[in-house]
Parts: sequence; structure tokens; C-alpha cells
Amino acid sequence: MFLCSQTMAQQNSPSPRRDINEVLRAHDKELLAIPGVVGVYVAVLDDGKTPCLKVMLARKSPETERAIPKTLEGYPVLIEVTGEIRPLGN
Amino acid sequence: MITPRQFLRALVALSAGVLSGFVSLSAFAGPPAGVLDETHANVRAVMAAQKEVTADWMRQPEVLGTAVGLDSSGNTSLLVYIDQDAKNAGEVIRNLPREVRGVRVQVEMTDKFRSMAKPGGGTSHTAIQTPPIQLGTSGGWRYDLANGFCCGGTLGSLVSIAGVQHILSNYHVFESDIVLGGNNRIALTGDPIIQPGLIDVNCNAANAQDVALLVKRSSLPASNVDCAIASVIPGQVRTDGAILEIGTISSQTVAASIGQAVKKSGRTTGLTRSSISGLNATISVQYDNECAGGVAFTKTFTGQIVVRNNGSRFLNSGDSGSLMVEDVATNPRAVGLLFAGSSSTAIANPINEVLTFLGATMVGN
Repeated sequence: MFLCSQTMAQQNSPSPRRDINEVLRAHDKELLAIPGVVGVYVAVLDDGKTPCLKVMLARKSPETERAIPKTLEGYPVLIEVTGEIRPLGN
Repeated sequence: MITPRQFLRALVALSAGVLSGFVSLSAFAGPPAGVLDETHANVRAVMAAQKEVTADWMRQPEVLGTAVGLDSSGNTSLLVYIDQDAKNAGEVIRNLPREVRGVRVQVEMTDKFRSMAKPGGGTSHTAIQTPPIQLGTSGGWRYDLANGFCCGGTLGSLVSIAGVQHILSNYHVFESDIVLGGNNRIALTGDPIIQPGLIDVNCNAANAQDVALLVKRSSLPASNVDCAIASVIPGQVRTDGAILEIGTISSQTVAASIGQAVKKSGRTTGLTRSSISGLNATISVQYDNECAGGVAFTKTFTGQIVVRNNGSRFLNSGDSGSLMVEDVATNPRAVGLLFAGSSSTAIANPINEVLTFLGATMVGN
């Protein structure tokens, strides 16, 4: 789980320090350990160029959202309510 | 706990000329408590707003319909479907109010709606074909019947392993029956793979045809790909690997990139198009131990491709096993193997990781 102190330190990062894929690899297990989180991936903001991380939630939950940092190592972290990810056989 | 089926049963509805039901509501609950059916106060509020404005808005040819939906925050909203090919779509959108009676108005760009009985405007992805068959069609393990249900997916594409052609699909389509359970069987090498799948022949395999033989590779739970193969029975599958409504593909592959336009041909939704919204995803997916069976394991994949799937229009149940290719007209290169998703998001294994696991190459030009 993320600690508040960690989150605050990460939010104060002035700029990205390493490749966003490395940042994802460093934090994906912690994010997946948060109840309700089903995935995390690399995306871009609506401007089409600014890299960000998106955290996928099974359902909307204020408690889960509070546990997710707003930034990680300078990269924005966005929340996306996707629902459960299931195999799509029939 | 509300199951997806309960949700869909409660929510899917259409009325003449107008998408006035709940086609975009998904299987997960947002902030409003309880089942979001027609009796829910939030839904009724949206329906009241919808009734007030729909007839007027639909006088504009650019407006294809309205519906009750959920926004990205899980709040009920009034969806307005706009024809993405309409010249004046931008102007129509600008003239729409942001709210009606306090209900948020949400625009969704879409193709023109059409009957889905035969996806892709006439090509059936579920009918039995005269061999040699094209891929992008319904199929599955011949014995995939247990617990009162039958299962299947999509025979997605053709790969070559040491010069032998194999149909490529998903582990959970061909070989996920790993307990004797409800059918006293487990999937074994040599078992027939049929076209179409049991789900499209009333669960009666006698009405389908054998097209390949399973070669069990057990990609899950240990590896990072959800793939399975079956060696082609000579004469039963087109040797050029043609896929329904896509045609032949390239033998080369291409890495996914954000914003990349892609398409796929699958059992349920036929030929559909979308774009890649994310890369390098770490995703948790739960698997059953047989058709309609118990939980076998939860697998965490890394490095996955994320694709937009609004309203399950790109990928839906039964499309698993479809090959995702770049959206070009001629001999597209493979990008990923589709295997999982939700009503907003589809997930694909990067095709190169699949091919490396199998020691295979794509069959194509």
C-alpha cells in the first residue's frame, strides 16, 4: 500500500526523473494491491502528448481513489473506472 | 452483489427509433446505490430529461439517438450519439446544452447504428462455413460443455510453427477446462477444435465441423500470454490465413503505439475498429476452471495493450481469440491477441510475445 508520506514526496517531484515505463514497473504491484484496482497502464493526457499513468478501478470508490497518489515521480496519475477485466470467451 | 447478467437484464432496452434504453450502462456500479433500473431515481431523472429533448434533437440527422448512460465517474448521464461521419457534427455538438434539468449531457461519437444480426453488413461470423474456412469466426473446443452451459470464442488467425499451420486463439477458449468437474473431461492434446463453436450450434457439436486438433501449450497460469493453438486438419482452413472481412494479413508484425488505429474480426461483434489508448498495462484477470465453472486462478499480466472499447462495441464476449491488426486496407500487420476486457476497455497480448512463446510466425504475405 502507498503511505501518505510517500505520496506527498512523490507529489512534490518537480519533473519526471526516469522513463514512465520504469515508474510503472516500480509501482504496479503496490497499485494492484489496493482493493478495487484491476490494472495500471501508460497513456497520454487529453493533449495527446503528455505521458501519464492510468489506474483502472473495478468500481467507483472514494476510499480507493484516496489511496491512489495524484502523481508518481512527477507523472500524473489518472483514475479510470473500467469495471472488472474478464476473459471474453462466451 | 449484482452480477453482470442481472445488470444487463435490468438495463438493456430499446424503443422505436430512439435508443432510449440503457445500452451504455455497464456492469459495474457507480455512486448511485442499488440496481440502476427504470425505478431508480437517478435513471428516472435522466429518462425525464431524455423524453423532453430527444424528439427535437433527432430532427438533426447528425443525432443518431439518446440513451441513459454512466459517465467516467460512474454518475448517470444523458448520452447523445452523434454520427462521427457527419460534416456538421462539430456544430451540432457545440449547440447541445451541457445539462438538461440538471442531468449532465454526454456526447458519444459513433458509426451509424445497424442491425447486429449479421455483423459487418452481411458477413456471418457464426455460421458454419464450407471448408476451407476463413478465420475471425466462431469456434472452440469440441467438448466445451459443462454445468448446463456451453462455451466458445473466436478462431482468430493462422500461425506457422516449424512449417505446420495452426489456428491461434486463447488458452481460455481452447484449453481452460482443467478439472473433470461438470463434464468429466479436461482439455487434451488431439481434441478437436470446431467451427462454429458450441454456443452457435445450440451446444450440439454434431452441427459443427472439426477444423483443427488441439496442441496443448498451457500458456496459463505460468506465462504472460493467454494463447492456444490447434494444428489445422488438411483442407479445413484456408492456407493463406484469410480472416473474414479483413482478408489476408502480413507475415510481419508491428508494435502497438498510443493512438494507433486497429481493427479485428471476431465471433460476436464481427469486424470492428478502435484505437489504442494505453501500453505496458499490468492487469489482473480472473479465470474459470471450465465452462461456467469455479475460479481456477487470478492472473496478473504485464506489458499489455489497452484498447478503447466504449459500450463493448469493439470487443465483447465471444470475441476472445481475435487477432488485432493495424487498420490498413491491405495485408495489415498483426498487433495483438485480444483476450479480455470490460464494457469500456479491451486488452490484448502483444503479438510478438505470443509468437515468441509459441515459437511461431504469422501466416501472411
